[in-house]
Amino acid sequence: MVVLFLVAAFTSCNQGPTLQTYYVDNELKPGFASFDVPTSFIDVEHVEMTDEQREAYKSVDKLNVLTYIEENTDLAEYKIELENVKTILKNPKYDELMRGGNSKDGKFVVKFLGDVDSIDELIIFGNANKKGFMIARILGDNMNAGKLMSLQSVLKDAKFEDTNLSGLTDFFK
Amino acid sequence: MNNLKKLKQNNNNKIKTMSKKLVIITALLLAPIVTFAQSVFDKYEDNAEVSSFVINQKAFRMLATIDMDMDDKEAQETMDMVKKITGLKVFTTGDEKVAADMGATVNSYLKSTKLEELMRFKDGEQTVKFYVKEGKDENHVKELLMYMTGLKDLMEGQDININGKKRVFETVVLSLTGDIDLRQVSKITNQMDIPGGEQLKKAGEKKN
Repeated sequence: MVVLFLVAAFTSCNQGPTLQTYYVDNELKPGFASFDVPTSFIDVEHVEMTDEQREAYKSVDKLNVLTYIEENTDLAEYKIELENVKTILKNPKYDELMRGGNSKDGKFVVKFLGDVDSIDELIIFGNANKKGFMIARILGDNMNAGKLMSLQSVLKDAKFEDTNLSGLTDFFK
Repeated sequence: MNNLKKLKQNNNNKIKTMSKKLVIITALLLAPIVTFAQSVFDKYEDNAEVSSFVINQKAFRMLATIDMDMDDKEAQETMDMVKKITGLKVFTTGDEKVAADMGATVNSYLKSTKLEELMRFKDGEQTVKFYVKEGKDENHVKELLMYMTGLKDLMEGQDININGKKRVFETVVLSLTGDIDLRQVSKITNQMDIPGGEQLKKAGEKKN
């Protein structure tokens, strides 16, 4: 009986909204902004990479960001959306790495899907009061933190096309 | 004869279901105890006056997958230690009322978990206390709790701004769990810029 109940509980969770469905459902709504940057966006053609770095580069598919900017964060709508995201992230399939902040200024949480040495999705969710919230996802296949670190040097050499990324950095200011 | 067999089977089945029930009941009874240790300070995460920072075991394990310069023996030692950490929690507050409440929580936590005092410093208004739960030998502890109060004076000269507002850390509670080698703790805190790192360094040095 107990087992049955647990199975039912877990499967019913899986049928709920995921971050992906949330993203698709909301990206066009007012207040939301999104960008989706495939790794091919970063020009690495002329950068020399070791095999390990190339493997790491290939394991990453894209960066996917959804922001909800709202000056008046006391609005009921903002709170509803914030709760929606939090509920999705409460799903036990998302493993938490770290969280922090305080309820006055804002909080952040870092979660992931997959195993510690082969990450399929890394999620950074932060909300800043009076600014809004942001969900950043790094999507890939068997991403390894150690190997990704080796990409740092590649990023330094790579050319970024004129992008929307400045919008992203503005969010944190 | 047949009847006797049946009776035996029946009894066996009964015992089986009994033991199953027992397992479930004990599991249910133990669940709050296991989670209790975590929830003592977790309530402060929702407090508006408290800033918190939590790192989970998986993060440490992920950190350990990052190859550092492994020729370096010291780095290797640090990595081995990092792998064994199961959690880091830091809570800070600038509000005096909340600080007092935190102090009370720390005290009751110390009593309930039987943590031993490792050392304490007092410098003017500042008090720093370290508590540990004994581990496998004298250099290893299962839990390290640091409790710092009266930090206002220390912070006066510094401007720590978060989102444009000045933050004052009056009280800091730091809890580190896992299989902790005290000799390695100081090295790690040197690398991570966390409040109380300087004091932890002292704790590591004294232990040597």
